[in-house]
Amino acid sequence: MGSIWRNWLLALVLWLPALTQAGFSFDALEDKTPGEQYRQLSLLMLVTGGTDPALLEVLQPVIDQQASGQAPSMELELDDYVTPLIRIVDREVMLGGAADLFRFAHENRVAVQARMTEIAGQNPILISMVDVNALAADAIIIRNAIADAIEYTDSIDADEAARRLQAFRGQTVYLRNMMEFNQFQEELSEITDQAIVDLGGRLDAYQRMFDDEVDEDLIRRRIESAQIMNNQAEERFKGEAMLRNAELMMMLILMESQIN
Amino acid sequence: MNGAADVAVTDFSLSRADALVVIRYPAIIHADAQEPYFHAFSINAIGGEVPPANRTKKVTTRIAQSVIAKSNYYVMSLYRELQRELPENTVLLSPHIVMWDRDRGLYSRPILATEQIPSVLTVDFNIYSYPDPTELMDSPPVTFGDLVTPLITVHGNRWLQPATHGVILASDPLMRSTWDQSADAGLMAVNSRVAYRPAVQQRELDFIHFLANRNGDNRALPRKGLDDSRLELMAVEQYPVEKIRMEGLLLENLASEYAQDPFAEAFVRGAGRNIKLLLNEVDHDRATFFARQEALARFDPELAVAFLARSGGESVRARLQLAEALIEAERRFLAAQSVGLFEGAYMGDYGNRMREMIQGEYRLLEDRRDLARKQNVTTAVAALALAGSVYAASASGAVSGVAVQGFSASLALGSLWAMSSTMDMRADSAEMSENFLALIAPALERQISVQMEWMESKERISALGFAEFRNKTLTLYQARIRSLEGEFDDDCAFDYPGLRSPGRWFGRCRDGRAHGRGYAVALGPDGRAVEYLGEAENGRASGIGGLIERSPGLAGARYIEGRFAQGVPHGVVRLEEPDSRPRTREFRSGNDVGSASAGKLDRLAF
Repeated sequence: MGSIWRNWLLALVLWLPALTQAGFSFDALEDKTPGEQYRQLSLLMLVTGGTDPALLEVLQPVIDQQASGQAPSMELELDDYVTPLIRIVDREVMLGGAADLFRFAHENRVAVQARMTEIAGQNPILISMVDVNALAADAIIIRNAIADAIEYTDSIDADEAARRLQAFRGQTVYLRNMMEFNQFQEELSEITDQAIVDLGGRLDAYQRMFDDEVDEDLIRRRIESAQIMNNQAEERFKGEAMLRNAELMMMLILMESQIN
Repeated sequence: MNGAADVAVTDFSLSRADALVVIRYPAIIHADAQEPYFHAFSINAIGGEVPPANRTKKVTTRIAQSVIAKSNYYVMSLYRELQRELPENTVLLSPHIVMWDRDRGLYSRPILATEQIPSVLTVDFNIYSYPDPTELMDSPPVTFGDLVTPLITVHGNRWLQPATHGVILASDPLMRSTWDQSADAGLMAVNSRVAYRPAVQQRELDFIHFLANRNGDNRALPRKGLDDSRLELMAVEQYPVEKIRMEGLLLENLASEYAQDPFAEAFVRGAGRNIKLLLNEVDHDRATFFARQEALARFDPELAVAFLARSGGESVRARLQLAEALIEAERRFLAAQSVGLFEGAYMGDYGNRMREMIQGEYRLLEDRRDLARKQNVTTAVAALALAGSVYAASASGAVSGVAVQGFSASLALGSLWAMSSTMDMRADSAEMSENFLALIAPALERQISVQMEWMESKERISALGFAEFRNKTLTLYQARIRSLEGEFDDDCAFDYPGLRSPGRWFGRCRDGRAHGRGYAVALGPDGRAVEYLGEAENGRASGIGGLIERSPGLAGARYIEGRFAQGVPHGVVRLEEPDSRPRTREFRSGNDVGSASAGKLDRLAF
């Protein structure tokens, strides 16, 4: 279990610079499929959501190093990160990418959210299948990786940095708790719905014992209802897509409202 | 009750777990309780005194039966009205079974788990008929044909309105019953917490408590008329016992045309409107705070103590979110049970029979009214006398008697009551509540064999009931919760000046003394009782808090909310006392030094 976890973590950490190496931009996303665009934008928002803009100050030494050319180059190709070990050792590269991510997210928050909503509207079936909890799980791992890396960074103000880092970690715990609540709520709803169905089923079955005649009208209406539901499938997916989108937005709003 | 204008209810509460209204009513009677119930019903009559010779007559027991049978039906009108207007799954039914045992005497207990769900308001409802039809009074309360005499009480947790122990409204005869039960519940809550015992007593129906304990002392209670409610007096609204007359046109063919509910038109709409107004006026979080805490304590005692401390930590918030979702799921399930009850008792066979009976009664009554007018007798007496003759005939089996010739529906009451008396055989068994829905719902004659037919049925019918549902959800909950950060104690010292005995504090502590947020209870040797929710320092109330103080000589309680220091009010506070309007006052070291602006008041956040 531990090795799977490590490999998964390393894979994600590897993926991060791929996201950031050329600087995160809408243009860079254009070539990707709508589903991939939506996934990356969602992940970006969850990784950076609820953070104090001042967190960038903590990363200032890394940014300065990059600006002065002392830090490793940011123009790395994705292949350069094939080895997990390299990625872990090159902490500055990862933090440089993180700084880029935070800056982009803070500057383009409204535009990103609008783009996500637009994609959800245009591709309802695709987005209705997005697993928000899986995205949140990815975001939690990346956030923890960033936070762990920051621990080893020379900061301009150690006390202030520790406080901001703690707030960042607190937001990650909050995100984790929201994700766990969503899972809990889904399972709980399933149990509750089933219990209610069984409750009604008992009464229905009891009623049927006194009613031996087959209600053909009822059967016909059920068939017609099924057809109508099939015809409305597209609409339903649209609704679910918007629901997923709203769920993500709600997570972000809740995270934003929890700053410090 | 005026029902002219429509009212929309807005629920601003933070909790999603709570119900808005729980409606309690007498549904069935255990066999052992029949005779005690008939006896109590005849000797504790509302509106007069039944002569001893008439108390044991069959007709009196029939009328006592009709009160239960018709309450089952008419309560559904109130349920439907509120359910239609309030948010989904927030109106729940709590049917009671009337019981008797040697220790407790006559009492009632809920059949379903509804009352374990926190609710802003609880409504007790039943109808009433005077037991003795031979007693000629000016205006006897009666429920027969187009006449209905509803008895109603509205109450909540003591923190809803501490000055009246949470009692909001009561029909006049039930005033003392509901008051005593609420006062006892509050005192018991304090006692059990001081002694660190769980509070287990289930509140019986106010009506049954009235029947069993009518001969109490003659105390003056803080009351106000219905029209005085706007004065914001901290008193109980007094609802007079009055016969509601339903629209005759709606009753002519009630058995077949019941889309328009005559009882809703005559009474329920107005009552529902008042309940909705009340829901808009009260603080839901304050009303349900302790009920939510008790609900949490059932399955997560550690969280329940942290809840009292109103801790803002993320670990508490996350766990509370899970726990509230659990209670919300239970509420959904119980709401589905309530819908089942409604469908059975109103839409199903039971409702059909009852409508036939009411229609038949109404037609007979109209004939009798004509006769009464000719004989110069009041119509009220005519109604009572007729009810007596119908019930007497059905009781003796002489349904072909002169008074009720051709009125086959008079048998229905016997049939409906037979349901109660046969169901009581199962009343003590665990399956009783599980089967209640199906028992009360369809085909009453066959209810005894229900369980057998289920077992033999080829349908896949899960036996899942509330207990099994709760087991499943609790298992899920326990698998998902994480540890709580922070220390919350349930036995720290709390000192209330002047009480001369230490209290118990639940919440944050330092060196074994109350320190931080939490909740305290304390009992004095003189019978005084204190509850405090808020901030404390060094074992005393200090900061923002709310305090309820009960004294043996005071009918009701005193509530102080605002700033405290050194254990006493200090700063601007809101003062609520029985028979007074709430006031904003300035206190210095526990002494009232004058009025203050409400804008300077720091309210307690529940």
